Order: sequence, then C-alpha cells, then structure tokens
Amino acid sequence: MAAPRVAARRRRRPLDQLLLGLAFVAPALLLNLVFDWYPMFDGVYRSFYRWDGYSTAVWVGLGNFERLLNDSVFRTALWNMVFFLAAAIVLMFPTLVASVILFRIRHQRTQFVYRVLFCIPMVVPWLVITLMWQFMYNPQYGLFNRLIEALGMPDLTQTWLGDPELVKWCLVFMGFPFVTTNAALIYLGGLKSVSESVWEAAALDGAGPVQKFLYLELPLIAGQFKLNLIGTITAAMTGYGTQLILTKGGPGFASMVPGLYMYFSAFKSQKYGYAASIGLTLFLMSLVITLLSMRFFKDTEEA
Amino acid sequence: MSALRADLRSLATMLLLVATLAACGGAPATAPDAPTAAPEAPTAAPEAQPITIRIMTWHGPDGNTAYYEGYKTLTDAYTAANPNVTFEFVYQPLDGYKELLDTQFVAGSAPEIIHMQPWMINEYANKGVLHNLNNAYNSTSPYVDGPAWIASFAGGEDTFAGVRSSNKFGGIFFVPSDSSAVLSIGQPFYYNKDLFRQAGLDPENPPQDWEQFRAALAALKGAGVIPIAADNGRWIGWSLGQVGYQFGERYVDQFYDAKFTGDRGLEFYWDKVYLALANGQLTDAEYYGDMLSLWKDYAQYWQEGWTGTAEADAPNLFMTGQAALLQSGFWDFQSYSALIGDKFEWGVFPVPVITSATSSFGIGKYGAPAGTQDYGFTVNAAVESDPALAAAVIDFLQYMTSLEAQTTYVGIAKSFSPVVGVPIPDEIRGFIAPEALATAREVVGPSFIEWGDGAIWPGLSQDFLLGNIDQAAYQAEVAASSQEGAKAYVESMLGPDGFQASIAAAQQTLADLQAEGASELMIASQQRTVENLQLRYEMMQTYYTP
Repeated sequence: MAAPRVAARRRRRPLDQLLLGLAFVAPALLLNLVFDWYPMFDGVYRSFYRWDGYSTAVWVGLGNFERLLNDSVFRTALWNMVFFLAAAIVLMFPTLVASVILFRIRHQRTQFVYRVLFCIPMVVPWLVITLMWQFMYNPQYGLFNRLIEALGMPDLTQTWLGDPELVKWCLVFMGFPFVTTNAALIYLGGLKSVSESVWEAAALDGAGPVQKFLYLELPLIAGQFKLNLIGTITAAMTGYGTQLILTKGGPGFASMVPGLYMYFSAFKSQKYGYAASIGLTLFLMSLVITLLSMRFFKDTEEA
Repeated sequence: MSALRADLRSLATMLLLVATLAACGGAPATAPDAPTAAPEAPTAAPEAQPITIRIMTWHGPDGNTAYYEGYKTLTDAYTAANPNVTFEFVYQPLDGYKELLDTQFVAGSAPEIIHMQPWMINEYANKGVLHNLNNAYNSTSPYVDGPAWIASFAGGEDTFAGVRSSNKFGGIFFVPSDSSAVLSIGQPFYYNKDLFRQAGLDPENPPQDWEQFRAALAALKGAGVIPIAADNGRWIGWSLGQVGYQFGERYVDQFYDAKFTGDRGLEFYWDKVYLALANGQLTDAEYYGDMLSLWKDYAQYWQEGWTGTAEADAPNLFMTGQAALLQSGFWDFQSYSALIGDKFEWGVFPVPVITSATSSFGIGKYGAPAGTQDYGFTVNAAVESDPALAAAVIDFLQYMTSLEAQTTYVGIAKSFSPVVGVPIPDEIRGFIAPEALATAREVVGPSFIEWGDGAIWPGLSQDFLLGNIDQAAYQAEVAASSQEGAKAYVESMLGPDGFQASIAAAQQTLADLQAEGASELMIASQQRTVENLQLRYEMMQTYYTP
C-alpha cells in the first residue's frame, strides 16, 4: 500500500509546489500591488482632477497639463533638472574608472582595504552627509569659508548655497569625490564575472592599460553601466530631497527642481491634482529618456 | 500533503511574525519621560473601558521648550485619577507637521487630539475632519464652577465669536492653549547687548520706532556685526509680517456697507479680506509701494547668503555672538536662556513701530489684543464614532483647561494661558506689547502675498528681495496667485456645499437646542452663529464679482 501512496504524492508534487510557491509570492505580490501599483495608477487618475486632498475632486481633463505648459516656475525647474541630469551622467565616470582601478589591484589584502573604504560611506545615512555639507557651506561658520580665510584669501569667500549663480554647482559638488558605492559594487561584480582567460589573452596580446580599459573592460561592463544609467536618470529627474533640506529650491527658484515643485504643490498649496500631473509628466519624461538611452546602447552594440 | 501542510503552517507562522513586527514598527512614537511636577488630581472620570488618547504636537520631549514637559505632567495627572485613560504623544516638528497630518487624515489614522496653528484649524475644519466643540463649550465642565465651560476662558464667549465666523460650520474646533485673547503678545527681537555696545549703541535703550531701528542696524553693520540672523524658511514670512502688518488698518472696510463693518464685522474679518482678494481689490493698495520698498531695504541688514541658511542655523548665529538680533517668541525664552548662559548679556525688545516719520501709511502701533482665541488643540472628528473615546477626550480637555491644571502648566512651560485667573510667569511679562500702543485692528498688511500659492510666493519673495525681479512684477505675480485661491474659496462658499448647507445645519442645531430646552446661553450663542453665517452669505452674494 505504501508504494501507490508515494506515487500519488509524487504526482501531486508539481501542483503542491506551485501552490506553495504562490503562497510565498502572494504577500509580496499583494504588497507590491497595494503600495506600488495602486498609488501609481491613482496618481495618473488624480492628474486629471482639481483636488485639495479632501473635497470632492473636480474633473478638469487636461487642464492641469495645460497649466503646466504655461507655468514659469515649472519651466525653471525643468532647466535646473536638465543641469542636474547632465552633471549626474558625467559624474558616473569617476565611479567607473575607480571600479576598474580597484579591479586591477591584484594584491588581495590591498583590494580588501580599498573595498572596505568604498563601502563605509554606504552605511552613513544620506541625511547625515547632507547636513554635514550644509554645515560646510555655511557662509558664516562653515568649513569652506573658514579654510579660504585661513589660507589668507578672505576676498574669495562665498555665500555658497545663498548665491543663485553658485547654488546648483554647490549641490553637484556635494557628491565629491563622485564615487558611488552601489554603482561601484555593480561594476566590480560585472568585472569579476569575466573569465580569467580574457585577461590572460589580453596580456599575451600586449594590450596596454588604456587599451584594456577601452576595448575590454568598458564593453564588458556595458550591461552594468546601463543598469546604473537608468538609476542615475531616474534619480536625477525625480529626486528633490537635497534641495528640500538645503535650499527649499532657492535662492528664488535657482535650485528648484520638478520633484520639489510637485511636493510643494501638494503640501504647501494643497493642489494634489496639479502635483499628480507634475509627477506623471516627470514619469513620462524619465521613461522616454531611459528608452532613448537604451536604444542608443542597443544601436552601439549592434554597430 | 502533510509536508505541504507543514510548509504552509510555517509560512503562516512567518507571516504572523512579519505582521506583528510590522505592527510594532508602525506604532506611533510614545513619549517615555516622567512628569517633573506634582500633578493636580482631576475630579471626574469617564467610563472605565481602556482608552488610549493620542496627542499630536510639535512640542516634543527633545524640543527647545518645556511645553512637552507641561503637557506630560497634565496627562500623567489625568491618568493617575482615571487609570483606564492613557496617553501617547505623537511628536513631529513643525517642518513636515502638516504633511504628516495630511497623510494621517487621508489614511484615517490621525490622532485624537491634534495641536494646530491658527491657519491649520480653519483649513481642516472646513474639510470636515475636526470635531465641532460647540456643544461641549456650552455645557458645564466638571472642573469649572459656572454655567458653561466657555466662560472659563479669559474674555469668555465673545472671544469665540470670530472663531465661529471663520469656518463654514460656524463652530468652535479647538481648545485654546499657550495664548491669550486679552493680551497683545508680541514676537520680539532677542538682542545681544554686548554687540550693541560694540557698535556704540545704548543697550538699555533699544530702538522703538523704525527710524531708530534702521539707524541701529546700520551702526551694527558698520561695526562689522551681522545685524539680524535670517533664514530661508519662516523668516521670509516673519520679516514680511514685521513690516507688512504695520500698514492697512481696516483697509478692507471701504469696500463694504456699514452693516458688515464695525465691531460685528470683526467677527468675519477674514471673509472680507478673502472677498476683496477675490474681487481684485487688493491687487494694488496705495500703501504697497512703501511697504514693499521698506521690506526690501530691511533685507540689506540680514546676513550674507541668508537664502542658503536653514531655519535651525539662524539661531546659531545669534547664540554664537555673530548676529546682534534674532526674532522669536516667548516659547524660546527658556532654551535661549540656557544656551546663552553667561556668554553675553542679552534682552528682548518689541519690533519697532513704523510711524509717519517713515511712511505716511505706517499705522505706528501694535495689533490690539486679538479679542479672539486663535490656536490650540483640535479634536479629530473620527472620535465621534466612539462615544466613550469622545467623552474621554472632551473630559481631558476640560481638565487641561481648569484653573489648577493651567496654573501648574504655565509654571512648568513658562507660557501664557487662555484661562481666567491663571498667573503670568514673571519671565515672560516682557513679551506683552505696550498697552498704550496695542490698539490696531483689522490690519490687512501683506495678506495679498501671504495668502498666495504657498509653493510660489516664498520663492518669488526671495527673488524680489535679492533684486532678481522688480516690484511691479512681484506684486502682479503674488496678487494673481492669491486672487486665484481666494476666488476658489469664495466660489466654494457660494456653492451648494458652502453657506447654504452651513446655515441649514446651524439652523437645525438651533431648533434641536430649543426643542431640548437648552440653556439661554447656548441658544443665544447658536442664534448668533446663524446670524453671522447669514450675514457672511449675504456679503459674498452682494459683493462677489466672478
């Protein structure tokens, strides 16, 4: 009698496993639907309404988007965003180069030390780092002006975040030395997965360090670069935390970005419908730019 | 299948654990500190079922004031007398307070008692998320000798008339705290006497009018001292208020018939301003030129790079002896005393008045005692679904505003009290504006700026003060923004859910009170509410031009 029972259990196993698998996946799927997808579609829906967050929403069709087209603050914010996006893309390269250099270090212990040094900043909360920079930029008692004064050049002190001409550069400079731990780990993972024979062949062919970088390392981690690029584009286009904490978009609107304008429209003006339309516009722009960059990479690979 | 059942049991156990952990993680912050003063025992207790009341406030245990300590003393005393009622404090600094509150209301998780600033109260009341305290105020309180709880507040029933008129339900939606309707409490300058001496100024005779003030600021700047510590947050509104609310006393009365002005008109002053804004009558008042140029001139005395200075950094400039002046309220008195210690000698003086010597439009006086209650603790309308909870909340608020509890409280917090007979702590007497000068009423000032789009006007103001846009462009942009908002408000009030619905509801309440044989005070109060709503409706119907 035991053998048929075992056979029956074996026959049911795929179904059992499917059910078990679904049971494990269900909570994550449910949470994903409730906390990711529902707010996203609700935001799209709200963008066609005038809504203060409480009263009955009033259908305005494309009214919010029409208003957005004529909104001078939004236009300023868009230009600022383009600046931050360009800076963020350019500043991806120090991480790339640093990762390759780290990969080339053959001495295991030295490599370990550098990797630890790379990872330590990751455990310091972003907010703490932002507040440290805020302190350093303070014109009256901040580090930079004190340093400039100590060097005997008091005329070169600046108002930093309080200067409309400097503020965007100050915010970009906050990433110094522009090496992002997460991105570096992704690049290193990609380089480590390449077969050792490739490097040996390159050495036998007499490839120099620059040639190795341009013709081997860079193409071999193009996939990882694409992944990081998507993250960089999305963060640069939708992010606003640094501006919210440090400048509130000022002086004037000199550092205003669309994400912060969306936040202010929702929570300072009670224009939730309008804020949703900014959010949707940002999402669409981010999607288009990401798709275009992916397309560019695909064409490059095919060529 | 038994293996599958075992797996599913494990999964269920894991999910339960995860859910439990998530629930623990999501619990509101609870303040753990012990009281610092002997509590006064309340004399009444609500029903004995376990009740937890959450109180949301921006005064937290790690804040600069002793307010939290004062509140905690009162809640502990209440719990001692009513062991079934416990309290949890939900602390959120003012920066982000409204954002958190908005999401809590939308999610249905807002606390039972919520500390609110004046502008928040009407907004949330009009959205229907606050409990109307009319009936509670007009009923007796177990902690007060007298016919109604409302009589225990300084100024009595009259100080709530304007409150009732400022929301569309004609109700009272808060219990006043840390304020007084019968005193003119200012937000003066804290000043560094040592730096005054360094600049050749007499620290014992601080400036009283704007001309003296400007001369003092110039002297400080000339001596290499930062005259005023400014920031890129609240300071924009504060500095605008210092200058702006010294212009345009009773300015909007010119647009309305006599029946809407005078003392009765005081009760719906804000409606008059909204209506004038909506009609474009406040786009260009004759005093704006002087007011704005004075404000811009004032900005030259703020530290360099103030637009990049965070709110928390401005006090640092004062505390470290780099800036001579810092504006703040009495609530910071204790913390500033502790922080400054004996580093330098300091004092406070009121914001100097703008007299005719500076501008022919300057009113030369301070705001009169408001005569109206303005802020305090509101009650979440959600408590109405749980009568026992609602009763406990009201009972606690009545206890909190008893003479004994308030006396204990102001002693700890060094604050003002809205309740009759509560002594004023000596330390903060200097924050009361000189009585002879505190007579201005219905000052319109820069309402056309401040009532504009909150996402835009602070940035536009910075651009104006930095000289990036001229006065005409600034004025036009902020006026357009506030007119749009005011129009939306007026049109909503003239719509079916506005005054018509409010008047019908108020009349029904009046009829119910009469049928129940309520006290004369309650009936008269409700009658006045109905009349005010009718007057406001008539005024908007008569004067609004779409």
